[in-house]
Amino acid sequence: MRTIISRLALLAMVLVGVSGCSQAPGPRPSSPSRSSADVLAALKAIPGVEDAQITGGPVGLPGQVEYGAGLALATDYHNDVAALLDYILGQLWSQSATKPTSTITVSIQLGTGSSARILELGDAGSALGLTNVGTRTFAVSPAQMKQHFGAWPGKVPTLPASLDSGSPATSATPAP
Amino acid sequence: MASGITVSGGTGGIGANLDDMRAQAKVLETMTVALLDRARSTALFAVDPDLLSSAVLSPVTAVVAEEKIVSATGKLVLFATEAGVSAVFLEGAVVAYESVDKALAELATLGTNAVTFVAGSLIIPAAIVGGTLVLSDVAASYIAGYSEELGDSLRDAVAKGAKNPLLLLSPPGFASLVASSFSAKDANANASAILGAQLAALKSLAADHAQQLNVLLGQNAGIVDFIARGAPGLLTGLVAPLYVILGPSTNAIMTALTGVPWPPTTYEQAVQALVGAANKNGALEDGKPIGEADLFTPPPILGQSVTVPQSISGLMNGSAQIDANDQLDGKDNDFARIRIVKIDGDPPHYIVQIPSTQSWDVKAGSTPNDLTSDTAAMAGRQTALASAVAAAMKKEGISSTDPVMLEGFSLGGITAGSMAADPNVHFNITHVVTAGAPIANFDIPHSVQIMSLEHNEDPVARLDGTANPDRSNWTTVHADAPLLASDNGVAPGIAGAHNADRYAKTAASASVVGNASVDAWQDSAKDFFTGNGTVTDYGAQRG
Repeated sequence: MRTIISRLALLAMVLVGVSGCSQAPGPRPSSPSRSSADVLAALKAIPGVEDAQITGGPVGLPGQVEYGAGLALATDYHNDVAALLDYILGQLWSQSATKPTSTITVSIQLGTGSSARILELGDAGSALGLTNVGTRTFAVSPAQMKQHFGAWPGKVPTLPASLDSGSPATSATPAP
Repeated sequence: MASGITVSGGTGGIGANLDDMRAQAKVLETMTVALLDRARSTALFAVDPDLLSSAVLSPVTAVVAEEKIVSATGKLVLFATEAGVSAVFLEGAVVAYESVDKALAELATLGTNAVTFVAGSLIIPAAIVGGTLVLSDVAASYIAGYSEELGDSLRDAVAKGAKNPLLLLSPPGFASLVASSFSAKDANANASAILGAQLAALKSLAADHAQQLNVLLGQNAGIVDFIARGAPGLLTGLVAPLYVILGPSTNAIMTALTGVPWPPTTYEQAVQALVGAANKNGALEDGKPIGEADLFTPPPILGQSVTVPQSISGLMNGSAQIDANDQLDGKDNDFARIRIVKIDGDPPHYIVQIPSTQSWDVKAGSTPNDLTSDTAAMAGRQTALASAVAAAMKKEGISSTDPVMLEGFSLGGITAGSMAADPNVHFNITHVVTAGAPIANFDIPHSVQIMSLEHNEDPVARLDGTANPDRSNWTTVHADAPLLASDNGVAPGIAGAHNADRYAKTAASASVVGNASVDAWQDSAKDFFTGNGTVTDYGAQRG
């Protein structure tokens, strides 16, 4: 009898899991809870950031969720891009509202409006030991994020000194 | 690269061949009439009075002429007969094929609904049996837990009795020893440990086999077609146990509960019944239409190129982009970003890109591209999203004659299909592109050139319960869902096949596969893919 019960329960669990219904994005108990608005505020507070947005959402069934951010930096931004990417990813991984299951994306431009130039992030990602798996933007898999930042939701990162204004210039190279 | 690409419909499909056969039959019919007319006039020439009177002057020549005329007339009649018979056979073959095809489809639907009715009628009894089995397992675990504690208490009592044998001679004394040793807390802990071990084993099993099952279900995603096609039977069967209790009044009760005649007999009625029942509980209410005044300019997309699509793949990338950029002030999935690409030319061409489902809440929220819109569209109702798209098209200044291509992934495709089929949408919709969208049941005019992409493992594309029509204007590309770099080599299966980025890859593969139907569709759409145009995004929220 227990075999039958086990099989029935297993089937139910697996079906729910496979259908992705168990992965529906939504409020998740976490202490302390951290919302997208919190992350957005932190990103906008980075020196040199002129605008920021949270991006992402379902990319298919409920179990496939992308989460990311788009930033516009000052045209003459000259701080460490790898450190900036690391900080942005850490911020995105720290929110507890939406569990990313598909990819975590970051896209950055220098300047705003029609003169904006898109910043290539592949090298900065490589410097962090992260492989870009995106097609439209720089994207990291949840597995890489877990390896890099620990289990989701991660700790809220503190702004590194290298991202304070006045830090030495490094590699803010626009995409060709 | 997507694998296993097959194409149905379009200019190379069966429907197109049937259209060709029907056109050939018409040509032969016309030819038959013309030949008979010619034969009739030739025969009249043979009995012409002038020809007969000339026979007196030259009898031999006249006989030869008469023979030739009669011979020609006979041949004309013979040709006409052959052409007429061919026309009848061709037309007959087309009618026979279509009749048999329709009859087989109806038979299959009937059989499917019979099976789903039986399956549906077993769901509640099976759930009761399953629940009873689970409860009995829980009870057995508690009995085992309490028995274990009782055994411990007995052993403890015997040990204590050995020190004081007089207590063992008195039954009340021994019972008090057992009772004093028995701990309900320990017994409950034993039972919890047993249940916990079972649950852990199940979790481990599920973790081990989830991906295998995911892939297996993806390989057999046709089951979704079966269930969707049999939805009326399934729902009726599900309610069947109620007939035992309530009798014939069940139909009236269910009609009142769902707002549609019960039992449902069509797919649309089945969906309407589900939506109607949810509406009674305040769920899946799609809300009021969204007008031009409700639209707003969304925030700019940061750090990404916003490009004019030049291919089907480019369309899919745009779809993914408008889906991802729909946050306002840090609120996730807060509005629908509708994209209109104006292609320069005279007349200008317009590509309208419609976003996919971004909220799975059963209660309508701010964004109109949500689950409520999904269900309303599949039930054949007007949706807030479709009204927002029409409002954006008006605001863009698209005239009723400008060629329009509607495009979307998932809900975006469903909305595109439903708008193309809606006679109240007064735009010149010439093209529709969908990916992972169940639109087979929409009655889209034959003048619209449709391109549908469907992954073999995608359950959403199968929710219409039937294959897309095989018509010369409707090309459907089927392919195995391709791997993405983020998959790390793990097959997407049924859970991951429905994905805009995968469809972008499939579209890129399909466009170069060298299929006649795909090529013809791309040729028909070339004026939309010139690359010269401007992109404008419109934001839409429910009021």
